[in-house]
Amino acid sequence: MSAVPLLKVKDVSKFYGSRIGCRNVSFELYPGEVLAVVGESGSGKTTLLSCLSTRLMPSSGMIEYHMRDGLYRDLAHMGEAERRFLMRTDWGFVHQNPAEGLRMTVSAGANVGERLMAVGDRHYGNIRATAGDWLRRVEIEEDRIDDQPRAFSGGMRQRLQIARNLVTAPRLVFMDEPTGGLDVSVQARLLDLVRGLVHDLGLAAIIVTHDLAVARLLSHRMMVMKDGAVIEQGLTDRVLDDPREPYTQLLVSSILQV
Amino acid sequence: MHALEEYGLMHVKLYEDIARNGHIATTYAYPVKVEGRYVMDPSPTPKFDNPKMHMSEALQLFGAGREKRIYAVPPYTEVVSLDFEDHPFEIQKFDKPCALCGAESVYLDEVVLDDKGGRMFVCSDTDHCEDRQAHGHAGPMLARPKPESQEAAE
Amino acid sequence: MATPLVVSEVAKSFTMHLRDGVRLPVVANVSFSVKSGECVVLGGPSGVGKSSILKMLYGNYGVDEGQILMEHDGRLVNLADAEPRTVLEVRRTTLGYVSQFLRVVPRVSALDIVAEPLHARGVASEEARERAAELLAKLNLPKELWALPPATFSGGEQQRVNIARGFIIDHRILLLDEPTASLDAKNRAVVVGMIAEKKAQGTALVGIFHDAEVRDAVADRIIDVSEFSPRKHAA
Repeated sequence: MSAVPLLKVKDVSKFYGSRIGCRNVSFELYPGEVLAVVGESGSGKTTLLSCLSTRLMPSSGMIEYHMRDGLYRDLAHMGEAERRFLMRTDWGFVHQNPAEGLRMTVSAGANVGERLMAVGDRHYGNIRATAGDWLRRVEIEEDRIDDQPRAFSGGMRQRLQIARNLVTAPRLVFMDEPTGGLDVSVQARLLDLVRGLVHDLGLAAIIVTHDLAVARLLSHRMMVMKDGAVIEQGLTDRVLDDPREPYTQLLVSSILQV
Repeated sequence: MHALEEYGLMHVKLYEDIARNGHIATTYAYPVKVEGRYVMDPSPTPKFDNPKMHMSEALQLFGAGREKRIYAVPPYTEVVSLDFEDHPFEIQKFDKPCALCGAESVYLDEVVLDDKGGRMFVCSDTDHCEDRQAHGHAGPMLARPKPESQEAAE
Repeated sequence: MATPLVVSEVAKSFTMHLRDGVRLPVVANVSFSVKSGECVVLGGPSGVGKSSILKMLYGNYGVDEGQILMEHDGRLVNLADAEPRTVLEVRRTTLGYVSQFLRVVPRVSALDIVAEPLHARGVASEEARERAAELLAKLNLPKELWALPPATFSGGEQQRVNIARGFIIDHRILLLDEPTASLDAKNRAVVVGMIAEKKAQGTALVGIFHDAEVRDAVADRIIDVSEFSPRKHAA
């Protein structure tokens, strides 16, 4: 495990006028660590994710990222072009709705290849081979490489979105309810796939979910959010097996046992 | 898009071309990179003429009214057509010069002469072609008194 | 260090917020240590807090008071207040745990579940699988089950997968929560043999065994957990 954090988050707050999005969130994320942010809708978890991934500017606080050159950069002081470049090379963002993260009218191969081309890959044969390899890794038949995601099922689209994000070997991936819109059986397959990829690639990930089973399966650590604040955090199995806060106990006791 | 240097989609278009046709089938509005920084689509110029933009002594202006877009390329500017290492940018090759004015290294349109497979290649830029003819240049099919070729040429 | 695990004055209670904040003391003043090659068995009637102690030792129950000191990677770590990533690091190399029930991961085969801890330590997949296969064979899990996800296995079969997974790494400290509960006599004997091997290798073991025969076969020392009753402590 690396000794320095990939992401340092300090007292991040976001206000929408007088309404609180999230407040005073602080944590550090290390390479290879998977952090689940759980809470109900309106708890601030999505606002926090937007702030962390620079899609929203925090009202106060600081987010620093450990760049590949070994220096920390304050995300708020990065230029838009540089942030976007980071976003499409060193980071990934998996949306709940794959249509938001994919180009629906462009082939599966080009969806995966686009990020390679964006970082300067100029060999068609290699791009196509890499795209094919990634389709296989996310369990999409390679002969679907020229089909558009419009023709794919929800589960396949989500797997394609994951391939598109991981192809440039990012170090940090944000996921917003990655299994949200899927059938239960499809969810299990996707979770298992994500779990394997995160482990094999040594990815750091921040996963926003309201599903504690997703947090249990994928994350090392979790934060529970309520009314914009982190009310409990710790090792995932500690928080789930020995929840301390009233709200966390309520959440954990509300899970349907099968 | 230009400020953020997000041109991935331009290459995606070329990728899709090769995936569908086995080669880059885009023949006009073929994207170029200017001074190693800006990507533009020089429509409606055929890609045949893309290389002529490189280090051109002329100021080049491209406008697209509907897209509210205008590009100006200063004289003596580097203009390189986008491509792939294993699918390099290529222009169409014509075996013969223009059938009417004899011009070489210009983009030619194919003109079908009859329904028996007869055809000829003539300058796409008809102004330029007539200008050359007026100045006495002649292609192999101009002077011949064949009725069908004259019809087609008119 | 000959004593890789030292537990000192540990106390644990649960506050049940959903039941008007009632506080349930579980254990208090838990103090004991385990030497290398020693198997300490937690004894006492059920409900006395044996499992809770084991879960605190593994880090999945929080600790109210006291210290849980483990020798990890040449330094001393207090698991009672360690950062999550430290706990994970300790679990990856130093601290193993065989729970009573297998937490099934969808779609992952029995063989891969067993091989995973080795894999996570950087051992190549093939080698990790070979080692996993050896353990499953030793525990008499039918070979035709190895490639299947254990969700549909019987309790005894799942338990053997769980044991193999827990034993595949040479941890310095190994926690065992009723590992033989759903096994037949033949496989109980196999597990007793495996525990003896761990002891011979110098592993410090802490276990809960209801089966008196197994307990007598593996225990060097039995700690009566009712000694740690909070009521007794308060009085």
